[in-house]
Amino acid sequence: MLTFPDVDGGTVAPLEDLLREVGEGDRRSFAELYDRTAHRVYGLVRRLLVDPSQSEEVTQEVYLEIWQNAGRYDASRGGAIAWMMTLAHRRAVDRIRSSQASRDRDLRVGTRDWEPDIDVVAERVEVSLEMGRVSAALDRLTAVQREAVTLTYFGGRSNSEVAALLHIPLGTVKTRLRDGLIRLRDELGVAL
Amino acid sequence: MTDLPHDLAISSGAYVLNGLEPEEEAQFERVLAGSPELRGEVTELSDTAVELGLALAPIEPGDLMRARILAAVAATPQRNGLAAVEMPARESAAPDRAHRRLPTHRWIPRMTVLVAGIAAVLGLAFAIAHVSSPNGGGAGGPVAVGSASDAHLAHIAVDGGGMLTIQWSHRLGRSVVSADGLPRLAADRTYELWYIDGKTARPAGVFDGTGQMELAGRMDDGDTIGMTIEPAGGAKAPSSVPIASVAT
Repeated sequence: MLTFPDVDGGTVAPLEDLLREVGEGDRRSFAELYDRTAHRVYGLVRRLLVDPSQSEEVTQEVYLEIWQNAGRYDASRGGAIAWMMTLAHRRAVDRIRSSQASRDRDLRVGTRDWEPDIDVVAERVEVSLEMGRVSAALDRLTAVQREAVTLTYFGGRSNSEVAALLHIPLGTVKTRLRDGLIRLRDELGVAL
Repeated sequence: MTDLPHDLAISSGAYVLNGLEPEEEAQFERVLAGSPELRGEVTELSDTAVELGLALAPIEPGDLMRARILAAVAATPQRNGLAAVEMPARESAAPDRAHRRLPTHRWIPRMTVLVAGIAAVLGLAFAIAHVSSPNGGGAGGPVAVGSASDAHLAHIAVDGGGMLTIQWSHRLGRSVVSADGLPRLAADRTYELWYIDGKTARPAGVFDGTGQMELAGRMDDGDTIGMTIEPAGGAKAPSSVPIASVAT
């Protein structure tokens, strides 16, 4: 189970306990949960969406979903922060795909000027990671595995987009993602 | 993986990274439901993906966002652990992806998460906060937009300063705008809103930059809402690219 660093060094309630209390309707626990996790959730969403205002919208949606669905969280099935980060990644990717759909549509009818800049893939491959352990584990992937994992997880790219960007077959993208994640899992020793 | 078609057996990594196309994802989830072996792998790889996310440098969101979220929570009932209530999907420009169910990671299946409902709540919280606004439209107009079942809310930065808050409902074909900190314009200039459908920009009303205003005319599905600065009284066509815009 993933643990959340306790910056104060004192005794604080585990996030799993907070989330359970949130599930019982405790708004004070929700505020504490938010205060202890928002920089993580927002950091991930910002990495994916880049745009601050869209990132704020999606982060708000994520926390409202957490509030609404906390009663269904089951600590025996995984850590609270994992549950929240999984939800946040999903929502951010949904937003990317949905704004891409409208962007693609507008580009088709020639209104490029109305749309914000589209990120160029090359600049998204480099990710600065603060935790040496994960960064070191990523370094142990092959370059093509790392590229595929980075574009997909941190760039929010679909497999089809990655295949088109890298000029490789779809099946190759999937293989690289799976092999890369398995390697990462083994390097990190992710515990169940 | 035993007994699985090759393209599905190799999709577990793509699945947990949210890289699959919608059809593939649905297919994968059907297989996942019947394969404990595959579920075990997905669980481990999902946890691994979370580690990637946690390794990112954290970013502190602003106090305003915290206030918005806590206000929205105060106005939002929770779903209990039993049957989820189905809500109507919003009519969206991108229905293919935006409304997909969450992936069936091990903890997710019991969360029926509906963006439409969330968006409505955020919109409603906003409407409540602004209902006493001096420029509020008549007969509950803006509130109707904010409380629509498919209400959406966007906060966008304006080139030149200030923030624009836009609520819209595709179902009602209406939208409402309010501003915070927009620069005051010279007497012969005004802000003007537009519905932009890709080929044309339809004037949707001049805006003095204060209070709240419902846009004139009907918003069509897929319109972009934009704002420009125009001569006082408004123009029939925008004279520049928008200083703020949001795709609906």
